[in-house]
Amino acid sequence: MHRIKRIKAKAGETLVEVMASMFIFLIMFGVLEGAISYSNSALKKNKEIRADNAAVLEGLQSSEETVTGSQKKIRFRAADSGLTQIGNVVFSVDATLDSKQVTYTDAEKQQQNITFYLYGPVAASSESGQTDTEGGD
Amino acid sequence: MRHTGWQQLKANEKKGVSMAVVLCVSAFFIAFAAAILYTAGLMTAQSNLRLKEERCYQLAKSYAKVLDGELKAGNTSSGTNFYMFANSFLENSQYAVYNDETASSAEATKYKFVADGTNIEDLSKGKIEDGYGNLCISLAKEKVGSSAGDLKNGELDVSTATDYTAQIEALQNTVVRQYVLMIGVTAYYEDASYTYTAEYTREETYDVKFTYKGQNIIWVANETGGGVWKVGSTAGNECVFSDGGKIEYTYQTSEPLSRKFVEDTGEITITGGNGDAQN
Repeated sequence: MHRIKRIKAKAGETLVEVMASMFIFLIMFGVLEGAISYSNSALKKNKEIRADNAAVLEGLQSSEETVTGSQKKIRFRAADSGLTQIGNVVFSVDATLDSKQVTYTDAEKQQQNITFYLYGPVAASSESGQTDTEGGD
Repeated sequence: MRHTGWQQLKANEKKGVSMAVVLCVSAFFIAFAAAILYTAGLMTAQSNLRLKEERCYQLAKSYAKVLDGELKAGNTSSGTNFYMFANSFLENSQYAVYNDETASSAEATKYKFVADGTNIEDLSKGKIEDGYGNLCISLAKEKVGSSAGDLKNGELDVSTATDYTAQIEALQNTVVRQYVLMIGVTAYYEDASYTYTAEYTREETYDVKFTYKGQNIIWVANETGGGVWKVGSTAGNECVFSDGGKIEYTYQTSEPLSRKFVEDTGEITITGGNGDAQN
């Protein structure tokens, strides 16, 4: 009896326990490996996006060609400070809807075009002939 | 065979430890993997946001330039244009002066105006054309000094030999800078936004009325220099300063002679004119 107790006291893990532990660890390593490989590909993609962004912004700075678009009267309504309620129209501003085309070379050495939109002032001559028909409301 | 409770615990002390260790290590791995995924996702989202922010910047800046043009053009033909509204905003006591003592008071004294058709659930959705996002303008005003009422009236010495043209121009060019208008243009595009701010000081000048012994007199300058004071109007009789005295002048503060917005930070309240006209 005493000897059995001694043997039990020295007993290690069973094979099933060892196998189960290894299985769980393998799964964990798989998860970790997946996360790391995803992270790596995201990092690579990030670098590409950043390089593209830099090329776009550089192109935007050097691009001076602004295409003047249609004219629009934008009406503005009073709102509360939290922008949760909107009141009456209080003023309106005429502007042209302009655009700027930027051509850049992306990370894969392909020529790409991107359009940036911006507002422009209405020329004095066309302001006098402005009609109040277009959007905003 | 007599086992006490303590002995039982002692005998089983190592049972289940393996599983606890495995679970703890697994939890660590999962947390670590989740952190890596989250960071990678966040970086990608930020990279994608950069171009949208640039779009917002371009929209906000260009619209601020449009408003700048409106203020500087000073178009008074339409009652609902931005120049007219900016003036009424500065003069109307319904709009309180900007107070930045607390965050809530600063927010409450910044007045917001959104483009017609704005969806308050999603501010990036409006009725301006596709690609142009949506706009919100915030206005605030600050009083930087004295008002037109602080302009001091005064007197000019009478002398028939004096050319008053320069003195009169100096008086009429006395500039009153009472208000600073702060304009913030926020452009919303999808999930990005950018606010472009600018500050303007409104400068006003006022006409000056001259009287001599209770009569209105008007200076009529000659093309060749010099000039004469006429009584009542430019076609009136020449004023005779027989018994000396002084020419009194009063600023006509009810209606400004000129009014313009200058993009800067107002420092001086009243400049120009001679020392008497300043406070």
